[in-house]
Amino acid sequence: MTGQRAVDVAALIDGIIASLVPAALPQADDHDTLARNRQWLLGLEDEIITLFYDSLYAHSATAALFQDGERAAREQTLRGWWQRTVGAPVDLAYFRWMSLVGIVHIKRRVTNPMMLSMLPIVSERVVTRARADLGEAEAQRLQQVFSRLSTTIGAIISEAYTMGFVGALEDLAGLDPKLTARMLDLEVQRIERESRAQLS
Amino acid sequence: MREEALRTILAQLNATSADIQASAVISTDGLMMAALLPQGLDQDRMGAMSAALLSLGSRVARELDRGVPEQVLVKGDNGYVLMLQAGNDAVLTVLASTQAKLGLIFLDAKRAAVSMAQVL
Repeated sequence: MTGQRAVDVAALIDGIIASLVPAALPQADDHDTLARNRQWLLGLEDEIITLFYDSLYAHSATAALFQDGERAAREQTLRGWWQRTVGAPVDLAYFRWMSLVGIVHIKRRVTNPMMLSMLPIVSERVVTRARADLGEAEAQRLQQVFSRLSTTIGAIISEAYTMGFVGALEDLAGLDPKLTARMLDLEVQRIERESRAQLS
Repeated sequence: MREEALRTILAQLNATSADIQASAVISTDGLMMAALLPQGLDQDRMGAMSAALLSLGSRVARELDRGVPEQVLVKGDNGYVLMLQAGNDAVLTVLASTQAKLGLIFLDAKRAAVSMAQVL
């Protein structure tokens, strides 16, 4: 019977990256664009952090996740994320770190829709500011960079969330992943049938 | 061949007591290997649930330092569900009535599980 399994973050991220269509991943040009604009992007830190948490606190569903007085601590964490995201090469080590965000989101009850809805808000602000500061051509390049980066980050965080969620249940119940897959197959058939009936 | 041998063991088990209403042998990943079940029971779901319940029972036994698990028993208003490990890779599930003499059922089911392990 199955006991607790060791978490293999590297294998998890390798699997997610391998399943992404390659054109959706950050490209060589994207790394150049990020490197060329590194100082400018780092200079957006205060604005991005304020925008991010103003947006979350302005929405009741996300505001409800925060405890009183924790905004400063959360902002500090996001500063670390921003500095790492735009301040150093976006590589495998970075993506592995992103998987941790998905796991932390389970603990904090941050759902994938909440997480995914923040990615375009950040990207759009970067592009808007780039148009004003760097010109249209560079703004378009940054738009492409942030589009691919957001897709990859969103895929990793959401998949790590799902895998972490299912993995926790499997470990607690001692379930073999093959058995979990089988139970999912059986239940998804029923869910699909009932969903179709409700939507028809 | 193997399925037939397993069905024979199940038939022998069911014949040991009128209180045994059904039995099945299922792989630990939830696939039905052989079954003698009444009509109307969803074999796929029963297989998955039996394997899941034995897995959970094993996990509980290990976590609470109860040693190697032998069986999981569920008692309901309408009878019992008994699950035993049959070798390393299979689960024997037995459905019994409320009047069943559990001591005898345990004994017969355990014998059947040992026989199945030899077949598997």
